[in-house]
Order: sequence, then C-alpha cells, then structure tokens
Amino acid sequence: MLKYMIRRGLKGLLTIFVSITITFFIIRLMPADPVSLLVDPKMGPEVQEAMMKQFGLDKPLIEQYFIFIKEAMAGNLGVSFKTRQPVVEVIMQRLPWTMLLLTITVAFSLLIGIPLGMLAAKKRNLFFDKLISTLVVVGISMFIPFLSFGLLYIFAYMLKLFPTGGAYTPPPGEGFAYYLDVARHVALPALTLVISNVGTIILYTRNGMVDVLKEDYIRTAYSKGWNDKYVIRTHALKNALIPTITVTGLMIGTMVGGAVMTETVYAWPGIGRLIYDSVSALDYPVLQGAFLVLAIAVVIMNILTDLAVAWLDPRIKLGG
Amino acid sequence: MERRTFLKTFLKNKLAVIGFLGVLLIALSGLFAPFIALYPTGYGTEILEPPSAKHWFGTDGLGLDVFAEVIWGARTSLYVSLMAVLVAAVIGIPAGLISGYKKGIIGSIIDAVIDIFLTLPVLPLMIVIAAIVGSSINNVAIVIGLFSWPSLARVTRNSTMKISEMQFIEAARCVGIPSRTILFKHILLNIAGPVLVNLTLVMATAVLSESSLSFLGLGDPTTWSWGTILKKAWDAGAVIDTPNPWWWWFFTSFSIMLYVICFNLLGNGINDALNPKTRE
Amino acid sequence: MKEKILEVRDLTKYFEASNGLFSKKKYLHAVEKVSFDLYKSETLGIVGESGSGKSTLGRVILKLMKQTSGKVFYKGQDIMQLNPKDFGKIRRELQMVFQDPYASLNPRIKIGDSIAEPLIANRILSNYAEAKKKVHELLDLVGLQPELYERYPYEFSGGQRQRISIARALALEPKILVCDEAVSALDVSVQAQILNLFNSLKKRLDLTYLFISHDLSVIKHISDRILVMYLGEIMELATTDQIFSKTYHPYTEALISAIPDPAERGKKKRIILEGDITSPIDPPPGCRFYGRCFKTMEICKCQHPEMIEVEPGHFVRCHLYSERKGGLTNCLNT
Repeated sequence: MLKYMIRRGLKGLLTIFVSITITFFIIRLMPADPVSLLVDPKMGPEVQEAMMKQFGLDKPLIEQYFIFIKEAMAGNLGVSFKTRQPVVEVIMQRLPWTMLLLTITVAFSLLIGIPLGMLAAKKRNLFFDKLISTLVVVGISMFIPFLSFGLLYIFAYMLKLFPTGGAYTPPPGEGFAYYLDVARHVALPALTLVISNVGTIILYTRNGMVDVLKEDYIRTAYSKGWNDKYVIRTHALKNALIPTITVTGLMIGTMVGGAVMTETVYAWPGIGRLIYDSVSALDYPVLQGAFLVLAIAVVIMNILTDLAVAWLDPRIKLGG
Repeated sequence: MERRTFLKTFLKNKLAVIGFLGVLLIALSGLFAPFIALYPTGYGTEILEPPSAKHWFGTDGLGLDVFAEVIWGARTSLYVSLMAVLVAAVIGIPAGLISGYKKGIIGSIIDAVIDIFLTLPVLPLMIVIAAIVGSSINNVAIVIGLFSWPSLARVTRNSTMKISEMQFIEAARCVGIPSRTILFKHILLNIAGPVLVNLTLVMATAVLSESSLSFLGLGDPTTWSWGTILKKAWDAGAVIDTPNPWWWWFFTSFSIMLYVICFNLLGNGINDALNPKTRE
Repeated sequence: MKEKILEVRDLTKYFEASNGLFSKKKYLHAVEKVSFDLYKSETLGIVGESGSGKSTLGRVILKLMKQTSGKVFYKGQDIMQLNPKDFGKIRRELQMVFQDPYASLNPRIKIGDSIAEPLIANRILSNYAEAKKKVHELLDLVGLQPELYERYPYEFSGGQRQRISIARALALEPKILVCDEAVSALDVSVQAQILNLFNSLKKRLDLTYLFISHDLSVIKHISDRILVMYLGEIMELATTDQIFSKTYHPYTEALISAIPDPAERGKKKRIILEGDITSPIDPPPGCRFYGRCFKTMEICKCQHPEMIEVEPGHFVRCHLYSERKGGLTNCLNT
C-alpha cells in the first residue's frame, strides 16, 4: 500500500509538472508574441520592463522555464491585464465557488447514481434497467448549454422557482439567510452538472454490480441461505464500487470542463466563469493561471480517488 | 459467418439501426447543405418569427432562417468531427499498436503519456490553446483531435495486447513477417471492432467540444456552427426572454443531442454486433 | 554415418520471477544447460509433462524467444550469435507447427493468403497471383483441395486447420520442422491421420523433425529417438527401441507405466509418483527429480547428476548409474 501511494504521488507530481510545462510552452511557442501575452502593452514602459525582467522574457528559453516554475511555486502567476490584480488573488477569489459547486455535484451524483445503479443491476434486463440505460445515454449526450437552457426555461422562466444566475442576490447577506440564498442559486447549476454526470456513475455501478453478482462466490453465499440485502452489503458492494470510484476519478477532468460551461451560462462566479471572462477580455495571464490551478486541483482529486480505490481493493492494498 | 452475421445482428438491434439512420441523415444534410438551404448572411426582415411553413425552425434575432443555420451548422460539425477523428486516428492508432505489441520502454512511455492526458482537464486546455492560436475551423479540429488521440490509443493498446498473445502472431513472426506488417495488417484487422467503436465515440465528443468552444466565442466566426448559433441566442438573452423565442435555441441544441446520441447508438450497435456473446 | 544437422550445446533459458521492484531477483529455470545433437532425416521426440520446458526449448531454438545462454550450431554457425538480419535467411529453414489449430491462423485472412504470405514477405515471389500456384501445390501436399484457397479458417475443422498450418510452415521449404504439441489438441482419430501426414511428408521432402509432446504413446509412434525432459533438464536420451526395451531413468519408467493402452505399455504396473515437485524457481542443488523419485539415494538430494552414456547412444542423468555410487553417500546438511 505504501509503495502504491508513493508511486501514485510521483505520478501526480509528474502530471502537475507536465501541466506547468504545457502552459509554459503554449505561450512561448505559439505564433503570437509571448510578450504581448504576459505583459499588457497598455502598461507604462517602466512597468513593462520590470515585468519582462521578472519573467525573464529577455533570457534564453531554458532559463525562462525555470524562472516560470520558480515563480509559479512562489505563487506568482502574473498580473491580470484587466484588473491589474495579481492573478493568484483573482483565482483564489473564485476557487471556493467552483469547489462548492463540484463538491455538491460529486456528492449528489454518487448519492443518486449508486443506488440507481444498484437497483438497475438487481432488475437487470427488465424494463427498469432498459429505461435507466436509455436515460443514461441521453444524459451523457447532453450538450451542457442545452441542458442549462432547458432547466432555466422550465425552472427559472416558466416556474420562476429559481434565480437565473449568480451565486447570490446582492448584496451578500449574513448567516442563515445568506446560505439559503446561495443554496437557491446553486440548485440549477448543480442540477445541470449532476444530470450530466450521474449517467456514467449509474452505468458503471450497474455494470460493476452485475459482474460481481455473476461471480461464483456470490452464488455460494446465496446457496448458503443468506438473504439478498446481507449478501449485497457484505460481499458485493465493496467490489462493485471499485469501478465506480475509479470512473469518478476519471470523470473529474470532464466535470471540470462541464463546470466551465455551466458557470458561464449561470454566471456562477467560479474559475470556469473566470476562464470565459478572461477569454473574452484577452486576459492571458489570468487564463493561463486558471488553467494551471485547475489542472493541479484535478490531479489532487484524482490522487484522492485513486487512494480511495486502493483502500477498497485488497489487491492493491496488500500487494503494494 | 463473420460478415453476414455481423450485419444480421446489427440490423436486428433497433437502436443501432436508428443510430445509423440518424448519422446518415446528419451526414447527408451536412454534405448537401448548399442544395438544401441558402447560406444565412446579413439581415432578414422577419425577426424572431416562430416556426412556420416558410421557416421550418423559425427565425432568429437577425431575421435569418434557423433551419438554414442548423443545416449549415451540421456541415461544420461533420467537418470538424471528421478532421478530429483523422488527427486522432493518425496519432492514436499507431501509438496504441506499437505500445501494445512491443512492451518495452517505448510502450511504457506512450502509456504514461496517455495516462497524463486522460487526467488533465481537457476542455480548459483546449480553451487556452484555441484562445492563443486563433479560431479557424481547422485549428479547432486539430486541437480537438490532439486531445482525442489518448483514449483511442488506450483502446487500441489494450486490444493489441490481447491479440499479441495469440499463436497466429507468433506463427507470423516464425515465418518471417516483418513487425510493421504484423502490426498494421495482422493485429489491426483483428482489433477493428473496438477501434471503430471508439472512433464513433470520438466523433460524438468532437461535436460537443466544438460546440463548447464555439459557444464560448472561440469558434470560427466565418462559419455557422451549432455552438455559435447558441452563443448568439444566449447573448441576445433569448433563453429567459419574455416572450421566449424557444425555437432559436431549441432546434440547434436538439441537433447536437441527436448527433451525439446517434453516434453513441451506432457505436454501441457495432460493439454488440461484434461481441460473440451477445450474438444469440 | 549419420549427418548432424543441428547441435545444441548448453542451451539455457531463465525467466525472471521476482516480486516487484525492490525484492531480490529470482529466476525460473525453464531450460537448463540442454545439449543434444539432431541428425538429418530423423525424428527426435521430446517428451515431458507441462513445466518440463520442452515447448520453451523449441521456441528458444527457433529464436522465437531470446535464450539466456548457450549455443546452437546449424550449418556450421552458432545461430544464437547471428543478428536479426543474418538470421532472417536461415529462419526459413527452421519452421514450427503450433499446438492450437484454432489459434494459429489469423481468422481474418483467407487460408490461401496465410500460406502465401511467407513467400511474399521473404521476397521469394513478388505477388499473390504468382504465389497462388505454389499455394495450390502446398495444399495438395497436405491433402487439401486447391479451391479451398478462398476460404476462411472458421470454415475448417481442427484437423484441416492443422494441415493448413503445416502447409504454411512448408511454404519456405524448411529443412527442420519443430512440431510443438502439434497433434495434442486433436481428436485421437484425427491425430493418427496427421501423424501419418507428418511421416509421409518427411519422406517426400527429406525433412528432419523435432517432435514435442507430453503424450508418450504419440512420441513412441513417430520418433526415431526420444529425449525425456523434466523441469528443464534432459533426463534420458536414446533411440525409441532402446528406451522401451531397457529404461534406465526412474522418471522414464513412470512415464511408460502411465501409457493408457496396455498393448503399448507392456506388462509394467502403473507407477504413481508421489511427493513434492522441486521448485523451478532458483532450484536447490541435487537432482531435480528428487522428491518424487521412488529410487532416491542420499546423494540425490545435494549432488547434481551429470549425463552418462550407459550404452552406445543411450544417455541418462541419474546417480543410480554413476561410478561414485558406492562412494560419497552422505549429504552434509546445508
């Protein structure tokens, strides 16, 4: 287990390293002039020179690379073209909102998806199962803006139950009223993301469960006279959940992409929306910084899910 | 047996046939777009008209025919998906074959690269690149292809590893068949199934990626794309407007969904038809 | 005087069998210092149970697997030292027929093309049209009609597929054919047909066979000489007549006694081997058969027996026949 954790940690570090490298090279090897991507031409010439020195834009590529890494580790990702704020500050303002959205999404996707998947496995090949499978295909095929539009149309426009965007209705309140307000605002974005992702969870839980239930050791348990619930709880569940947790980890990358689209439509003040805004404003430092932070967040979440799988799967736990 | 049973099994599967017909419909619409509808440009006179006999899908905020926009959007989506699939296949299939057959250092490196790519948040990265490189339709297609090859390579690799263990591969080596022939003829012929299925998936996700990029404003401004139509609708506030010109955004979105579902169904159909276990 | 066509000297193949990255390296001794000569136009049968290393031996000789050490002399050269390019020309003369008729033909390629492919790949003929004539000849040679060229493997039975595999192996006009359990997957009646085919082909094309099998009755039927393997080593090597008339090695005795057909077996009673099998991973010193042997002596546990010629052309690896039998009989406990 320890060996596995070390290996997994190293792989995570490598991925972060690769993300930093990609971000670095995108800027410097693109046809666009790298200087204009990092230093706002509208700034005064002394400020421009100072920034150029800081990022070493006048030095050879290799040196620039190490300077970039050093600065990134120190938390300096440049200065926003638009607001003149340090990029890190801008991102840190937005990050918690995205984390909130994603946490709610993952929690509800699992809470709804796993039971539905298990139920579909139990009633496999019956009508319920086929219905679920169809809904799954539809769910994962949804274009997120379409889903958002649909939900907005029904719930915000027609039924007027939920607000159309933002994280709260300004000004931000205090205490319980504030939380309630945020909850109202997070409902539709979270619903969008959940519908988009729960399909995969259901699918993998169902298939994982079906595979496990077919196994001989389950048949043995049944033949010993144990009832359904007990068999599933003690023997099947742990093993059936392994593919589900694994796929949750793999889905985090796509979920983040979905968050970008969702936050854009719902004006949710997270990193996704920040990416959209910075694209429109050609605010390249913020764009690069946001991607980097997202990549690191995804890597960390992936490591966590992998460790969860490793803990569940005795083959990894004991084998190292 | 092989070819006839495949067709028979495939045709018996109703969903697969629906998928195939849907794909065909979209492909033909895109291909023959110039003959079906006039390329929408400029301004029209009837703004935000609901669907009628004259405008099947109604008109948008500039008075342009939404049906024409959707048809021309299909053309773009098709083009981008095909280009993306081409890029993904040219890189991904050889990468998967080589890393699956010769399990040496090269194989491990390719596998590690695939792993890293699959972990990265792909859409944000595509956004960053598209924002910097510029949004011509070919750029978008190539960028999407460059991010689709890893999953294709993984499927190719796994299938290749299974086939590599078989005795007819050993026999081919024994009679002196060169490695490149073994990879691109003997192995490829036997993994065509799963690879094809993954290619349909790439087509489906390519459309989602392209629509997403266009929706965010990174699409090619000179072409009609489903994503751009939706962006225009969204910018004009068409979704929560009163009264609501739902037709502006609904038909486009539905087309995207149709495209993705049909390719998914087609892929599932091919997969089931190839799997001897489901052939009962 | 018989002419030697292949000389195998101390051929060894180890597989790595370590646990993970940080533990000490362990090796599975699949083939251990195997030496023998192969004479032209003979059929040398290699017999042993699974795990004896016989299939690995065949593959290493044909360089389908890399050897760990040893030499194999063919036409005066040590083929183990040849680089892939030089070996390519020699490879044609050493071919193999594989065990599983259902897995040794590419299911997606017409059988005629499968047979023709070696000719094209080795640039003997330049296209499939030219090759077709040769394929027809080969199909005829193995007893199949030429029209079957266009068919796919799934249309054939196991025995027919094996004929096709033989035709493919013969396409390059080899001198030596290694048959790795080539009839083991076939029904008994079909086995007989294929064995007869092997014999007739041998005469017609002047071939030399290395026939590998776990089935001693098959080996007896087809082989001129027999090589008995156990856990990677040769235990006994002699002509078929010699082995069955006077068996030296206890293991060979046990094998013969296990032949189902009483007519083949003779009057011998069935010997059932009991005891622990020596591990092929980093095996202990001493005889590999120690632990299951029913004629063990103290010396067998710690001293490795060498090959001895007990009669002209009859070799055994067993302490029962070594000169030091009366001498060192104490094993110091290690």
